[in-house]
Parts: sequence; C-alpha cells; structure tokens
Amino acid sequence: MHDPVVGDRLDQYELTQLLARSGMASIFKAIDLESQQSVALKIPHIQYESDVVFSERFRREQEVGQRLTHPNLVKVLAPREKSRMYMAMEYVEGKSLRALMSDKHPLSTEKALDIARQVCDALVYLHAEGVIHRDIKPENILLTASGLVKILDFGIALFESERRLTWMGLSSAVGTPDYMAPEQIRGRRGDPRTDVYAVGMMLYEMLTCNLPYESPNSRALLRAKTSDEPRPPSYYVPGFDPSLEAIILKAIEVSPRDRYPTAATFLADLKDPSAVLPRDPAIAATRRRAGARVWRRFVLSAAIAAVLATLASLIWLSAHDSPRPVHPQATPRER
Amino acid sequence: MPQQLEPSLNLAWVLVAGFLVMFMQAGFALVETGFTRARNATNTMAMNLIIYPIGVIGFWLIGYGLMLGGLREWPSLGPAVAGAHEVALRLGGHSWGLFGAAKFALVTVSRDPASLAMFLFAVMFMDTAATIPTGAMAERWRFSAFVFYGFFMSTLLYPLYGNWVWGGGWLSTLGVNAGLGHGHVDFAGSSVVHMTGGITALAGTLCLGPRLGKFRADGTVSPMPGHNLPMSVLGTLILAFGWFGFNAGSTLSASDSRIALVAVNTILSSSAGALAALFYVWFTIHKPDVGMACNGLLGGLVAITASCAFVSPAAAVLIGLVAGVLVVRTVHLLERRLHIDDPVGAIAVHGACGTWGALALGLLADGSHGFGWNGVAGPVRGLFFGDVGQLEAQCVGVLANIVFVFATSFGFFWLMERVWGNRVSAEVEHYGLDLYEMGTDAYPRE
Repeated sequence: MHDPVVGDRLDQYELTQLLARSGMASIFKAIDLESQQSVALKIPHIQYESDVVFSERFRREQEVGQRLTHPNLVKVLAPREKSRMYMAMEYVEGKSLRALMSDKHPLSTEKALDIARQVCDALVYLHAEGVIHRDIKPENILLTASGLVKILDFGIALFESERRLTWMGLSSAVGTPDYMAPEQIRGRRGDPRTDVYAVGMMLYEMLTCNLPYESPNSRALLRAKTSDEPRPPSYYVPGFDPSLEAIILKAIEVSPRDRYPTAATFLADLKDPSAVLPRDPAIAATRRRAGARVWRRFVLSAAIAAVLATLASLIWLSAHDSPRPVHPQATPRER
Repeated sequence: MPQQLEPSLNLAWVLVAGFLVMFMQAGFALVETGFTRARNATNTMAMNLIIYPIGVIGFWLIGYGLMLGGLREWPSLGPAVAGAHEVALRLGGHSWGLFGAAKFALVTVSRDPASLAMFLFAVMFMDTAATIPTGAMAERWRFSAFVFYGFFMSTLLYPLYGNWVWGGGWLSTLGVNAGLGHGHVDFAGSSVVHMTGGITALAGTLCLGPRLGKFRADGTVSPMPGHNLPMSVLGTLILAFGWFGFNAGSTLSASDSRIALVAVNTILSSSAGALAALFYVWFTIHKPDVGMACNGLLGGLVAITASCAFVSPAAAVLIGLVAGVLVVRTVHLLERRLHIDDPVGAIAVHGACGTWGALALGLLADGSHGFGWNGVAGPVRGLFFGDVGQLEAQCVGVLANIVFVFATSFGFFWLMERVWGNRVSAEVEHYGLDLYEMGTDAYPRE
C-alpha cells in the first residue's frame, strides 16, 4: 500500500485533485463514479494507519460526522465499502474563514455577524445532539460563494458521555491555542460554553483583526488566557459598538460560569445586538471575580499566617519543653 | 567507648560522608544537563565531570593549604600535628587571619590521617561550590575558559573565603575579637559553599550575557525549556541523598549526638522547600511545575545547611518554606526584571537560599548547641533566642561573601574576557556547543 496520488482509484472514487496536505493527512477532490458527484476525501498518511491514538480520533471524527445532518455542517458520507482508512465528505466549493481574514482588514459587521450566527446555529444543533465540537477556529470554517457557512473537522469533538481526552495528549494535533478556552487549557473536557468561547474569539478577530491576548510564545499565552482579563475590542477599534462589545466580552469570559450558558442564548443576542445593554465596567462579572479574588487572597493570607504562627509556637515549644543535657558537652568540632 | 576506637570511628564517618558528597557530583551533572537543551548536553556533562579532577588537583596543590593550613588539629579526628601557619593581620590588639600558609600539596601531612580525611572531605565541598556556576553559565561558555575558571576557583577563591569561616580566619574570630556572637557560624556551608558558588555564578552570568534569543528586543522573555526533566528529577534526588553526607558529616564526629537532629532537619527543610515552591507556582501559573519543585527542594537543602545542628525541627520547616518561595521569586526576579539568564536556576537556589540560610542561623539558633564554638563560651543563639550579636556576625559574613566573592570573580571573568574570551561564537551557540566545542553529540541528530 502506498500514499495515494491524483489519478488513483479508491473504491468507488477517483482522485482528481490534491486540495491540501498536512502532516497527518491529505485531502483530495474526487469523483464518485457511481453518482458522478464531486466529493472530498481525507486520507491519512500511511504511517498513521497503525497509530492507535490517531485512528481512534479518525474513527471518532467519522462517527460523529455521519450522525449529523445540518446545512452548516459538512456532510460526512458513508461509502459502500472501504478498502483502507479514509473519510468521504461532501465537496464544498469555497474558502476558509482564515483565508477570508488574511488580508488584515476587519470584515463588515453584517458579514461577521452573519457568519457567527450560522456557526452558532450549527452549534445549537450539535449541542442538542450531545456533541461538543471543541475545535472551532477560522481554519475549520468554510464559506461558499453564496455565503453559506460549513463547519469542518470533528477531530476532537466529543459526545458528552464519552471518556475524556485532555488537550495535552492531543497537543500536537490541536495546534494553535488562540481559540482554546481557558478550561481546556486547564485540562477539562469542556462543555457547550467551550464552543461559545471559540465563536466569541472568532467574532472578535473578524471585527478587529486582532485577538484579545497577544503573546510571543504559546506558554505565556496559555497563562494569560487562564488568568488575565481580555482586552476589549475597542482597544483595537476605537468607537467599537458598545453593545457588540458587551456580547463578545460575555462570550469570552475567562470563567465559563460568566459566559452565555448555551449557544442558543448567544445566538439570540447575535440576532439583535442593539437590544443588549453596553457593559458597565464596574459591575457584573468583573466585580464578582474581583470579589472572589479578594476572598481568595484573604483565605490565602490567613492560611499563611496560620502556618507561620503554628511554626513559631512549635519553635518556642521545642526550645522550652525539650529536656536539655544536664552537662552540655563541649562541641567536639573545631574548625 | 574505648579511647582508641572513637577517633577511628570519627575518621571513618568523615570519609564515608565525603564519599556521599562526592556522589552529589553525579546529581549536579544530571540536574544541570536535564535543564539545558539537547544540543549542549555533552558540554554540560563535560563541565560537571572535569570540574571534579581540576578541583581535586588544584585544591591538593594550593587550595587546601590556603584554606586549612592554619589549623593545628581536629580534636575529634586525632592529635595535633606541627607546622600549621595562618597569615594574619594585627589590628586593634587582635589577630585577624587572612589565609593559611602550610600543608601545600599535603607534603607535611602526608602521614596524618586526620589531615588526609579532612582534605578528602573539604575537597568534595569545594567541588560542590565550583560546580554551581557551570549550571548558570551553561550553553554559551567556552570550554577552555571554563578550565581556567576551575583552577581559579579551587586554588584561590573558595579557599580564601573558606579560610575566613572554617580555617581560623577573621570571620570566625569576630566573636572573640569583636564580641559578635560566636563569630560567623556556618555549620556545613550555606555561605562558604553555596553562596560562594551562587555569587560566582552571578558574576559569571553577568560577564557572559544571556543565551542568544533568550531576551527579545521587545523586552519579552523566551522560554528555553530543558531537554530532559526526568534527568533533572533523578539528579535532584541524588543531591538530596548526598546532602546527608554534606550536613551530617559536618559534625566531623560519629559520636556526636547531634547527627540525628542534623539529618532530620535536612529532610524537613528540603521537603518544606519543595512543597512551598510547588504550591507557590501552582497557585500563580496554575500548573504544578516539577522543575520548580526540584529547585525548591534544593533551595530548602541549601538554606538549612548553615544551621542544621543549631535549630529545632520546627525551625527547619520554617527555613525550608521561606527558601522554597525565595527560589521562585528569585528566578522570576532574575529572568523577568533583571534579564539575567540562568538556565538552571543556580543563582536562585545557591546564591539566594545560601544567603537566607546563613542569616536564618542568626535568627533561629536556639541555644542548644555550639558550646565554645569558635572559642566563645556558651551556646550559639540567634536573635529570637537573645543574641543579636550572632545575627550581626552572620550579616558581616554574608556581606563579606557578596563583596569579596563577587568582586574577585567578576574581576577574574573580566580579565578572562580581555585576554582569552569567555563566550563561544554565535554560530557555535546556534548549532550547539556539542558539535563545535566538544566534537561529540550527546544524542544522534535528526
């Protein structure tokens, strides 16, 4: 068996064009010889076929994909027979959101909101099916010429009931931590609010061409994302719509508790941004967290004081309650 | 115990303890190499290997005479021998020892078991101090410049400060001559060994400058993680084991009933240091950083070294806790504020915690030990137990170390820079010292 090339036949498909090639798999455009329709085939490189973690991930991606039907999700097809590991998907003519943003100009508000709404709509469906995508990022969002959004790549998606795989174990595959939620960084499996966070980050980037956290290295970035407040969009775009800013900041709150609890509530605000009150910097989550911080600091100081007081009394007791030798010997050491 | 048995037992104890301290060399090699990058692994290992023979030869030839040449005897190890001589300054009616001037190359004591055992024990201590800068200066130091440094450290720098504290020099007589407690007291070397190593490392790192790419033009710091954390963890545990020789051996007597307390204080302080560093880092960056826990454990060991025979177990825990936090804070201070590049954290562990250890004795020594230490009647007491003079003596010792060791070693490195060159070229650093300096890679390159 060899890595397939254009012109090869694979079961009912004939490979016609190499669309993309990554470290782990190649994506080909192919013709379904039975229906004469274009499809996309994702074929892992040969050396990964025997990799247990990889094939488990691949199998899961296919399984999740085949179960789902939604206009904004790339459809995963079920070939009649499969002679090797690969995944057949509907072929989408379009470009990725990453490519769309590559010219470093913010998208128009309407365009950005439209994309975010479509993604959210798909998430509402996914979450209702019990699936968390966990890897929403511009590279995984495809846009057709008519403006239809298609979400790709269920590589690390999870049925909520399935066992946990932490990001550490998948770090080589997961790549950029820019859209990863703080709870994922801390190794939790994530829930619907994890996907809400990623959509919030994308909306932020679409409208400002920047991300709220910037750091020259990924370790510092991870640390900042788990502990620092995000920069508001108006930092980059003066005069940014305050209602929209409130929506975005709520979606990317550090603590999942403070975010939109579901994609549906997020979507409702995205459908009518003007109904959302601008954020008052002095209230709500920020203050609640500041309160938690003060409390945490107080508990910590008290704990430290208690340890020190205990040690001080133990030192005092050791000096006064230990029996002493009756005739202290002269120390035999002379240096 | 029969009269003739006791010195033999003590002699055996000191030798066995010396063997344990020698094993610490392996610990240092593993810790430092694990914390540095793969392309410099052979070089880092080589420095840890070669500092040992250089140190032994240099200390045998000159260092031992300078450091301990002024002492007539070690009462626990055997009778006095003739021929000791300390060069001293007469000032204010008192004699202030500067350096020893006898026993060079062990010629006059080649048949005295006490002197020979003390040579073995002391040379291992010296090697510990000399190894410390190889970690802080790793990944960019010319190997030939390092060899010169090895002789400088073993023949001159370490022996001089060592003489002042342990060889009858002026710091040890601060009590008799100036009424400051028992003079500068350092049971097993927080200041003599670790501060000396740490301060030299600081001077050397300042002269060498940071590794290429460590500090970017925009002021940010790039992390350069070591290549083998398991190696560093193993090294840390080996060091902790060898430290029993370091501290308990410093009683110089197997019949000294303080040995048990010394060993217990050693494990307590190191454990407290490791936990303090671990939880402190966990709390601030949300990950239980193992590398920091290693350095916290070592910091606890360094800090208890001066006072392990003089403080209660509870005080040892306190000393370790402070040391663990101190290590983390110092690492951050050096890296983020001062932009001093110490790949393994040696300045924080040995310099900062050594300083804290020497001062902690002046605070927490509880008056249960050290009767007649350095010729001053009564036990050693810290500030909290009624003797402010002891804390003052500790401060003088610490200041003397900072001023003398820093100035002398900085001068040495500065001179080396002028006449020989301390640092490898950028190209060598880029491709790794293993390839161009050593000619041998530690691991196959991909």
